[in-house]
Amino acid sequence: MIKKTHHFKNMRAMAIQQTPLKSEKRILLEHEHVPEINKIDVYTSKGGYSALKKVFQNKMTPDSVIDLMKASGLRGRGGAGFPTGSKWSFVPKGNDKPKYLLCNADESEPGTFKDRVLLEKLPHLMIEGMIIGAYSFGARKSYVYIRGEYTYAAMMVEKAIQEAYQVGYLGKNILGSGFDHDMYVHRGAGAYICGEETGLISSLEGKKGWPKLKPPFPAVEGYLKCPTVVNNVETLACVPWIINNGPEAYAKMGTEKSKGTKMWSVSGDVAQPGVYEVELGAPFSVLLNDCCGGIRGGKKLKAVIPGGSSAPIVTAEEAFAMTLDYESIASKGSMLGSGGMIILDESRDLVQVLKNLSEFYADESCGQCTPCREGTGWLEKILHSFTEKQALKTDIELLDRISSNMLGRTICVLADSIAMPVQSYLKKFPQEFQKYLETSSNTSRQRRAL
Amino acid sequence: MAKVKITVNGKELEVEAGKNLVDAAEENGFEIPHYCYHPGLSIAGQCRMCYVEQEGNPKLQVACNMKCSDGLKVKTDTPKVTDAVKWSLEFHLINHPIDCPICDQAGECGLQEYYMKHGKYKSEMHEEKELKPKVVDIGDQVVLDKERCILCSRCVRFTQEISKTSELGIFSRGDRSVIGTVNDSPLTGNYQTNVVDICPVGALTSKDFRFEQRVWFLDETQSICSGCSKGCNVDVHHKKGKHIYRLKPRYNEQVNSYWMCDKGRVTYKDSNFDRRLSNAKLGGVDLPHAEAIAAWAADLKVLIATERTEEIGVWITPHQTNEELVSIFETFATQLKTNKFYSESVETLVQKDEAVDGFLLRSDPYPNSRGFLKTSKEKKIKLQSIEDLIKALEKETISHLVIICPEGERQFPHMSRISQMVKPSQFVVILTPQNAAIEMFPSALSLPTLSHYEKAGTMINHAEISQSLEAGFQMFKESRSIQQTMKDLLEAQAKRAESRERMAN
Repeated sequence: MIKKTHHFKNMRAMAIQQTPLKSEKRILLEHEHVPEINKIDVYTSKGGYSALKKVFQNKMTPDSVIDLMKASGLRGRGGAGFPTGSKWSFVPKGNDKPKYLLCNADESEPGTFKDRVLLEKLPHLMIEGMIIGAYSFGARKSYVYIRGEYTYAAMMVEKAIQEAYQVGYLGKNILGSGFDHDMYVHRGAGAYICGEETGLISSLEGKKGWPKLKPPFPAVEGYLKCPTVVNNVETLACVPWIINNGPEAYAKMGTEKSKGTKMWSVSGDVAQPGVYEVELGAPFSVLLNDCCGGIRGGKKLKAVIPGGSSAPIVTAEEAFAMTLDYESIASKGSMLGSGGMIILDESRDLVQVLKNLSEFYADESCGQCTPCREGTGWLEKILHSFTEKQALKTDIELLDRISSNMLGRTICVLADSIAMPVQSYLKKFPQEFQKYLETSSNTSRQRRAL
Repeated sequence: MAKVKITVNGKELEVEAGKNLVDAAEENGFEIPHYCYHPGLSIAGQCRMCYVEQEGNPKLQVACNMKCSDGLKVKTDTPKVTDAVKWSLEFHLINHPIDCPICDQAGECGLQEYYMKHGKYKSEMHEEKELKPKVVDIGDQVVLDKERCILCSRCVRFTQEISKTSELGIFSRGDRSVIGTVNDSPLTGNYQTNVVDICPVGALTSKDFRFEQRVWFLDETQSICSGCSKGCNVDVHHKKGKHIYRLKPRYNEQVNSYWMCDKGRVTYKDSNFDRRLSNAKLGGVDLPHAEAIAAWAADLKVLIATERTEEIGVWITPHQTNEELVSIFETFATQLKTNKFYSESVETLVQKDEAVDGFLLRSDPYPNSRGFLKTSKEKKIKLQSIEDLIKALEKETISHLVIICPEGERQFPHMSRISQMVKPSQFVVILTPQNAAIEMFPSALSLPTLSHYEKAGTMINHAEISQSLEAGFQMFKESRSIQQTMKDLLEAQAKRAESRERMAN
């Protein structure tokens, strides 16, 4: 309990005020510290909505907006890292059906809280990006699907949308362009799976938040069977900067395949957990030491979960050897994901960590596909046997085999989200599991096994 | 439909373009295991059993979400596929109670079937299983066992897409997911038992059939439902032709697709022994069939000898097959030369016939009204109404009344009216499979005939589709088909005429 309070205090500190650090590269969070930046007049006074004006006053064509995005190299910040410009260009043209833009603000991956800062403090940045995005593929309506627990964030976005309507950035004939757009807030009811692209669509349609079988892909048949694009909050928030500063300036930042900046929400055993924006390709130590003030209590780093709880774990050595971009993290067998980084110091018991995660995924599996529905629960039970010191010798190998038979076998990637971590923990920290096996008495379980 | 070429396991097949790969493969002898896929429902893709390897795609694909297009190349038998199927089945089974000995589905269970073919055999599940409610009452027809359920969602999709009653849903998440109804309200409508048919496991069982019989003792005979003019194609499940246990819908794209209604499903009960006339009877006393025929022929002899055959009246219902009707009309109209045929106003029933609930069930309660009208027209039979019959009985222009096959309760009011009008001098013969109507005519001669599901022949449904019934069994030794009875009668009659001639000589 004490530990939790401690974390909570730090989180609050993050949410209140954070002046930019030298080691950061802030393009999204540039004005985050400005008081009342969530209000439209303050936002506009800091250059807000200039990108929107640029698009409409310069009479940029929808295709040229998409071309700009493609040139910038912007990739989706929700986890999958799909190029945004391409995603928008997949929406079929000349289709009679209405098109929709859905903003995925159902930030529910454990360890991830970067979108929350944008939603609470810079809702207009996201709204501006959404209007431009919607214009690029002709969506007349967009929805911001906000995680149910984000009550305050939903309120801020709701207010911001109203403000945007009042000044004519939303509604009919935006800035005399002839483009109409309406925006709505939809609040989730508390399911992790509704952050999955098609699960979100099902939920928005009023159904149970079950991911949909692909094909058809949302760009062709999504929300209400109409062409739909689902983008993450951070992705959309990048759009105004790219319009204002040009794709070249954006592409100049980062590495060859990872352009621009990335917001990281760092939690766990660091001195200053919080949200930090750094250039893609920055060394891990910059984020850990310069931004977060190093490991809390002078302890040593044991492991890092780089991109939200579903990302495979990396060891301390691997972490220090990697740079913060898609390719480098992938080369260490993990993924950049949502940028929800969890730092684990030497005192952490990784079997307990994994058990904790498996409980989460077993609870959150939507129950649609058999391997995930049954597999997540099975993994949880076996990991529970480890921590209860009742594991069997065969259980390590069994965990690995169950995971490999869940990987890539389901409609969405929730099964992968626990299968990949299980495999990585087993591979990178086998001694932790072995330790439990040595102390297991396992009499009662063995009797059952017989 | 355009044809395309696909390749399954290296064998080139020509199939319809856009056909579901599961069906296309199955038609050509390649079985792709599946639970959630049902050709009559939308695609769910969630059981993850129908994996195939597609050329050029490193990831396993589910066949149920693949449409046949030219050049599609898949493999269903690679080690990767068989291993994945094995594990998918293992995932299905880890929380399944495996209570086959007390499960009604045993013998026709998808889990049992695939376990033999694709089972992992050595289960590695050593944890405690998830426990869920069993024997949950969800309406008049169906019992739910949430533990046995594999959450394939077929039943949910059925209530959403076919019956459009939407009562069923999947509640909760993960391995705690269960099928259920909102606020535990019961299933409604006339199509509930279809969810039992499409349930691949023992989760949904029929109250009517539950614990009545092990399915491996059952034989199947193809027939047509006798419940209404729709003529749903059915399989009659009976044990060695001695007892019928259930009806199951048989696929017919033009008539009932994969479904049938609950009202139709219980029509088999009229065929079973407790409702049947097992022996010929005269005045309530059993007698051998041949003697009963002789008694009938004796009465006819008098009428023929005195040239009063026009005093024969025939009450007839559209329960018969076209072939039966032909033999009846030929016997009485052609041979015995009467023109007194009576029936309900079938013409009106046909004119007013409509789908009662927007789906299968129709307002005309007879399975062969169209055939009845067609045959009577062909044989130039003029049908009179019940009022005409009552008048004729009153005036005693009828002295010999033949009542043919009153089946089911609908005929009771007519039978009761007729029985009140019949005078002791009027000879009544009843040809029926059932014992119910006989009690109203205590002194009549009754002859047992075949029940609907024992008959062979053709019937014409509401859409003028002629469909055939297959004769598979005869439940009572003493019962005869109508054609046989007519033949026996005419033979007995001829014999009597012959002997009379001999005596006269």
